[in-house]
Amino acid sequence: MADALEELGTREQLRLGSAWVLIVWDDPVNLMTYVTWVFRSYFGYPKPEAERLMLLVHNEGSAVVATGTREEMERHVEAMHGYGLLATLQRTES
Amino acid sequence: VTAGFTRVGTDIRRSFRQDERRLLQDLCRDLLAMLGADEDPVLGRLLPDAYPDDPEASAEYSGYTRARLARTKAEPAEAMLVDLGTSPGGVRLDPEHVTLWLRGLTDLRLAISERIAASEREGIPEPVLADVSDWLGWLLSDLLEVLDE
Repeated sequence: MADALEELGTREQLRLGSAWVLIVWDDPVNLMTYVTWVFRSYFGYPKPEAERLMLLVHNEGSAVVATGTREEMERHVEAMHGYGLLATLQRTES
Repeated sequence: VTAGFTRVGTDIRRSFRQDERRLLQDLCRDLLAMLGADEDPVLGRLLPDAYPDDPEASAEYSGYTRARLARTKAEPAEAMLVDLGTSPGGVRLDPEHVTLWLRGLTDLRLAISERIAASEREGIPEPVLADVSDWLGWLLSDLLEVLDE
């Protein structure tokens, strides 16, 4: 029983631990080629994936660019702001 | 004739006319002054809100990141000033400085666009700033293109 509860607790932590998303927002100033470069150089995405995400931001107004723990997403948000991109984080709706 | 950015091995080189160099230096100094200010209309865009829908989380987050982010954002402008100051005829950027210039040119454009928007809200046109912003965008675009070659 204790083991089961412990396991449940761990599972809950894992679930909560990955329930945050990094959102990058479209803005009228940043160049499309620059946003693609940021996604490639910071996240290490291959060029096609970086371009896909950039176009998603451009066409939809925003895109989820990463998912993970709150701490990880806060680190990414700070990095995105360092690059001049508009980014926020939020808990995923589940 | 001012050529654009060109690749030299792993570095990227560009020559600037004296007026271009001075303009970039002035813009970098302005940006550093803004980043050092407690309040400036431009700071909202340079150091944006991570939790726009959660004032409490937002305040907590900016409490421990704002100073560090302001330092991070000062680095490109400082590097550009060093590069422009040490080689007046033109700059030769290693990969690390290429990254700093990309970030720096972007922040200069963001700051200028906020200035233009603020003037427009008061009905004041800013044709010179708009030209400067276009030129910076052209520089940035050119640098990205050479980097991608």
